[in-house]
Amino acid sequence: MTLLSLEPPIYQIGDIYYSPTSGVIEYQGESTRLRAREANLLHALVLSFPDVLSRTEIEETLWKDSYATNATINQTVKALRFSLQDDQRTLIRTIPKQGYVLAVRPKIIASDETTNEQVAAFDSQLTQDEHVAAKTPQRQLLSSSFLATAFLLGTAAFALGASGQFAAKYARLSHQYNQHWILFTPEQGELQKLPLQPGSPTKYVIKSDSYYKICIRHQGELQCKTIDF
Amino acid sequence: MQNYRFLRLSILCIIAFLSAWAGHASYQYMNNPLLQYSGVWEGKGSFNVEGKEINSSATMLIGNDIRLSLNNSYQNDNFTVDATLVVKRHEHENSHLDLENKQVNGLEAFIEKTGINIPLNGTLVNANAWQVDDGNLFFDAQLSNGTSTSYYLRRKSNR
Repeated sequence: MTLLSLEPPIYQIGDIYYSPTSGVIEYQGESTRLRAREANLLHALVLSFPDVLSRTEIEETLWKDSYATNATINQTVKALRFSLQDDQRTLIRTIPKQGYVLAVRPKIIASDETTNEQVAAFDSQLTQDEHVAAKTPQRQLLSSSFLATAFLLGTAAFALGASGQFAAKYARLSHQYNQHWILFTPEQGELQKLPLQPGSPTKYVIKSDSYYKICIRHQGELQCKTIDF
Repeated sequence: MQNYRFLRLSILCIIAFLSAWAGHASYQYMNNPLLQYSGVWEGKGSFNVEGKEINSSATMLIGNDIRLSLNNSYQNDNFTVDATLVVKRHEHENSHLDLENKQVNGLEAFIEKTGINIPLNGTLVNANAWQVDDGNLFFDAQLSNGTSTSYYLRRKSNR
């Protein structure tokens, strides 16, 4: 199995490193060798940037001694996008009725004059970058904005719970009528039948199955009387 | 990226759920009747048996559980009822309480001296309590003969 390596010149296109010499791309630490026509198409896109690469230019560059139909060119572009994992077409943009163009500026990071040591140093740097990139999601996961959101959400949810929003709701069993305490839920007009005049000493009224019990406080002791229904 | 967003959303959902649960638990704790009303409560009342009015004083001790002590007297004779009250239903303003471990002392002698016919195991069946007047309690003890005796309980001390 051939060892895939980036040989100068090396271009950086977004997160992808591409060597037209070896036809190898490297993305997230994984190296892949492009098919010849895909590599040529990518190289043509790099060289033509920022101009649009027309279908005619593609045909002239990639199919010098033959011809290519639109379907063939489409298929090659599709294959290149697949190799570059560019499903969303964020790397190779289609310009309707014109052709194709790279969405990001390709940067040459190692030229033909680059020594082997420089390439080795570059590879080492690349490995480090990938290591950092692998850690990036974790940093983003615990970003200050996320932590602030989590804190606010947690505080709001705690406050909501602590306010009794999730507790069972009860019917109000006791309430005051004039200044008297009614310790049951009265029906409409029920209290008007009872001796609960305003201004009289505070009375406490409970209701059983067959009678009302009306109590008043007298010298620290409750004195009660019952009224049958 | 999609998985990453899902992970963040999941974390936020878990935080929201746990925080709401913790808030709800603290609400339940703060509104626990045993905590809200802990202390010693006292009050006086009376009840009628065979046309004779028996004076009764109640002492309720609320701590980890609720202990009720009733001292019932008629003229110079008395008997006591001690019981543990168990909260069967608590609705903020009203609690329904059942009795457990009831102990009645001095009832046989009381019946003998006064001639008042009270069931030997005591008359207390269950009780209800309401919060009234600045946190005082209206306590109504249901008796086995279908009547009840009521007390206005004031807190004498916090535990």
